[in-house]
This record gives sequence, structure tokens and C-alpha cells, in this order.
Amino acid sequence: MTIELARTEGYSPPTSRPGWDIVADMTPPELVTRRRLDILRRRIAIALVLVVLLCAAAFGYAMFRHMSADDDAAAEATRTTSLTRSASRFAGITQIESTVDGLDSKVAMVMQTDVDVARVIAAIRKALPNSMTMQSISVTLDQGISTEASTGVSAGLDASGRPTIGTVTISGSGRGLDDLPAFVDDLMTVRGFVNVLPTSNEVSDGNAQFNVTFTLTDLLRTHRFDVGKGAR
Amino acid sequence: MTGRLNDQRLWLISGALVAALIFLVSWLLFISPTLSAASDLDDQTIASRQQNDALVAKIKTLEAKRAQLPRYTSSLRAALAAIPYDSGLPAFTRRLTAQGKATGVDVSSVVVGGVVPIEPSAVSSAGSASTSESAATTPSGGLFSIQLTVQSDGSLTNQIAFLTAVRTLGPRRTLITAMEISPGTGAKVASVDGAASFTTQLTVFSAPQSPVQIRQLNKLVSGDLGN
Repeated sequence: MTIELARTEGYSPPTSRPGWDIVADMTPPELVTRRRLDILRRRIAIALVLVVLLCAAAFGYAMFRHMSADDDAAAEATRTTSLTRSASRFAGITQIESTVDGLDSKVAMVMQTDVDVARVIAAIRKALPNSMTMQSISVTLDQGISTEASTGVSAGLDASGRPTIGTVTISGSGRGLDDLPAFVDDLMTVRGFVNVLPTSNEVSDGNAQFNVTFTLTDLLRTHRFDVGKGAR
Repeated sequence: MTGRLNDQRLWLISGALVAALIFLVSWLLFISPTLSAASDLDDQTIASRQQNDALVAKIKTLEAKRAQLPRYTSSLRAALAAIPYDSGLPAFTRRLTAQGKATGVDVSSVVVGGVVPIEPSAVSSAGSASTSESAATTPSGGLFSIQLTVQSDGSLTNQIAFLTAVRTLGPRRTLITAMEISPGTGAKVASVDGAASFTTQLTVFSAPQSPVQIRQLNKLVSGDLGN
């Protein structure tokens, strides 16, 4: 094939390198495409390698975090072991405390029905007029707590509504029949004494013999040994 | 031309997909599980640290208590005296006579009625006259009641003081369940004011322990914490 190139007007070829100003790209388009594709593939490969390196770096960071957290956890676990060992040196104190608390609870349980009987006797004695004497006193205490009001003949006279915990029976003598009412009146003013009844009052040989019974209510329980009261 | 563009587009899309796949696989299989495990370890560390702080505070408290060991052993001694692990009757009898002497009362008789296991509900059951009448089944932590009858003579005032001492000074916890007061043998008149004779029903309690527990308790009472 012959190609004729027309020389442009006014054109004068350079005298230093004759023939170099004539350029023609003779590369086939397929080659150009393939070369461009190669460049693209190379760039994609580099990008993929960078992605892999990035993932590796992220994994490395995750491993570092994990190792660091593992070290911290191990250090705290070691400290826990050491502290637990130290605390076990005081097991004796803890055992003393738990034994005392257990016994205090038992005391509170068994002594919940505690009544200051001496105080009951003293109150009875204080209520007794000087003209009277007591020949016998009988005190009986229930060990349970009755949830019902008192029963028996005097049930209807007890309007306190308190549970009853025991009974008292007194026998004695006075100068006359009028002595006993004063005694009964005084007994009725004592906290925890209800159903105070003069069951008999009769004069014989110049003396009045009497019998009095009354009921004790839960107001007389001391609660002295309840948990928290500290009175072991 | 169009074919060349398609090739380049195809390579770009494929490249992007492979990159995403690599990232996804790395994240799901390696990075996320590792970070999650690290986070769990962090939570575990925080919990351990809180537990350790509590232990430190507990040890400080126990050290302060240890410094007051005599007070604790004294409390234990008093608690064991209130409810001993054996019958404790010899010591109780000696105590009764000593308190009688101190209050001017002559304790003439101590009779043991019976030893009964205590059921928790027996104490709060309605209308029960005494624990000996209850059909006790399972004792409460090995708790037993012992009924006694005590005969004493003295003036009413002294007898009241004697009862108060028995009830409040202890050290054995004592429940008074019944009392009969009559003129004493030396009374000149038929009155309880002068010489009075008291027949008192008492209940005391025991919490038996095994020999191993008793040995351990004796060590603690003596202040030997075994450290």
C-alpha cells in the first residue's frame, strides 16, 4: 500500500533531526485495549491486596484487644483468689457471728411467751389493801397465744379483745366484806389484768374469806428477748 | 469500543465484589468474634473488680471485728450459756442456789420434769398449756425444752427478787410457766407476806450439737480462730 503525504505550505523541516516530526501511532486497538485492561487488573489486584492487609490489620487489633482483656481478667481473677484467701482467715469471726445470731433467734423464739411473773406478783401485792392478807396465789401461764378472747363464765366481761395468756387465782382473808371490792377495783386498774372476778366473799368467825380470779392478757408479755432487742 | 467498556466494567464490579466478600468473611469469621470475646472478657473483668472491691471492704470489716475478738467471744459465751448444747442442769442448779442465797431465799428442791423436743409451731399454737403436751414432731434445729419444778422458801419480797434474778440475770434463759404461792413453813400467820413458799414451774432450753461442733465452739470461745 502506498501513502502519499502532502507537504504543508510554509513547512520547513528541522535541519537537526530530519524525519522525527513525522509521528504515526501504528499500535493496533486490540493491543491498546488489552494493555488498558492489564493496567486495570493490576490496580484491582493492588486494591484487593490492600483490602486483605486492612482486614489483617483489623484482625490484629482485635487479637491485641482480646489479649489485653484476657490479661486484665486473669489479673482480677488472681486478685480475687488472693482476697478470698485473706477473707478465709477470718472464718472464725464469721462463724462466731452466725452461731450467736442463730442462738439469739432460738432465744427469741422460745422466749416470746416470757412474762415478768415477779412483776405480776408485785402488782397483786401492791393492790392488796392493808386490811387483807393473801393465803395463796396460783399463777398459770399458757405457752401458746390464744387467738380467741377468754372463754368461760367471764368471757362476756372481757371487752379488751386482747388474747389471754394465763390465769391467776388468789385466796385470802380480810376484816370484812367491804375489803374485797377495794382489792378488786385496784386489780382491775393493772395493765394486763382482765376479767377480775371475786368468785367468793364470805364472812366467817369475824373474818372475810375471799377468792378472786382474773385473766392475764398478752400485754404482760415482755418481748424482752425479741430479735433486735439485744437482751440475750 | 462497547465491548472494551463492558470488560472494564466487569472487572471493576468483580473486583468490588471480591473486596466486599473478603471484608465480610474476615469480619464474620475472625474480627467480630474476637472483638466480641474481648468485650465479654471486659465485662467479666468489671464484675470481678466489683467483687474484689466488695471483698476488700469485707476484709476491712472483718479486721475491725477481729480486733474486738474478746467482745465476740464474750457474746458467744453468753449465747451458749443462754441455750447450752447439753442439759446444763448442774450449772443451772448451782446458779439457782447461788441466786437464792444472794436474795435471801432457800431453794429446797429442783425436780426435772422431762425433756421435750420443740416444734416451731408449738410455741405459737393456740391454747397450748405447755410444750410437753404438744405432739412434737420435728425439733426446730435440735431445740429441746426441759421442765423443772423449783421449791423455794423466803419472804414474798425476797422471793420476788429471786424470780427476777432467775429470769433476767440468767445466764440460762428461763421461762416461768406456773407458780403456786402459799404461806411458808416458818410463817406465824396464814399469809404469804411473811414467809412464803413458792412452787415454780420453769422451762429451760438446750440446743444439742455434735462432738465436732462442740469442739469447734470450744475453740471459738477460747479465742482460737484457727488462723
